[in-house]
Amino acid sequence: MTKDQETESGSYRNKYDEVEKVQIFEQEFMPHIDSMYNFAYRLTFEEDESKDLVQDTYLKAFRFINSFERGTNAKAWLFRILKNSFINDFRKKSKQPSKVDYQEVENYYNSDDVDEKNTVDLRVETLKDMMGDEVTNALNALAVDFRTVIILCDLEGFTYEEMAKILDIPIGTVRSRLHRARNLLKEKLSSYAQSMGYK
Amino acid sequence: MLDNEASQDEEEYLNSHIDSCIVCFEEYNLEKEIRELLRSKVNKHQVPGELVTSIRNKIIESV
Repeated sequence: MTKDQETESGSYRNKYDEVEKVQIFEQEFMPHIDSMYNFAYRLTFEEDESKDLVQDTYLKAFRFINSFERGTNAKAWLFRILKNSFINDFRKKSKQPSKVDYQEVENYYNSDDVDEKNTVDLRVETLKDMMGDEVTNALNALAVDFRTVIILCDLEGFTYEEMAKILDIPIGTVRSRLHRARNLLKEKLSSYAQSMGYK
Repeated sequence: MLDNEASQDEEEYLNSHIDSCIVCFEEYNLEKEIRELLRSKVNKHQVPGELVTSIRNKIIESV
């Protein structure tokens, strides 16, 4: 039986030999370690936790390497593992907002969709003057689910379809969450601008 | 449109609308600028070298 036949029959056990595994790991997984570390840092805000999270993710990726299809999007595959590890192993430990908090935020913005545009007064010129720390703080102030979609879309350039897979949510939810996340970010940036006396 | 997720028709419609609607024109520019701001200014962290080494060592141990 060839390797391909094994894959088709659903058995991943011996899909790649040891040499191929290490090759895939080096060529397809390791090049994304910068993005992975920054994603972890933006979720946990801590160096040690980020290191643990990234290491866990890479070790898991290697352990389950037979379920990775060569030539498919390794970055999205790795991001999905990291996000799941964060939710299952890391979020429990820390005092991240629970699902309930998030739901409240989402409901609030659902009901407010019509008026929210008018509440933010932010100018392009103001944004140009902002410093890195101010922008970073505004992003970090968002609840983790909103922060995540901004990171994935605006910083990492994933498509909506890739985001849907990484986050295990429908594309429609990706769209609406991103829309709300951007409005929330605008509000944060606007209040930063005001407190810094930009206007 | 900003995320390259609009179809060609949608894109044409939005482009022509933005040309004539000042509110949407400003909104579009603002969102574009925020995207630029995020990409250029959000703090980036350097991966600690020892993390890369540690991961590679653990992989080598396991094969």
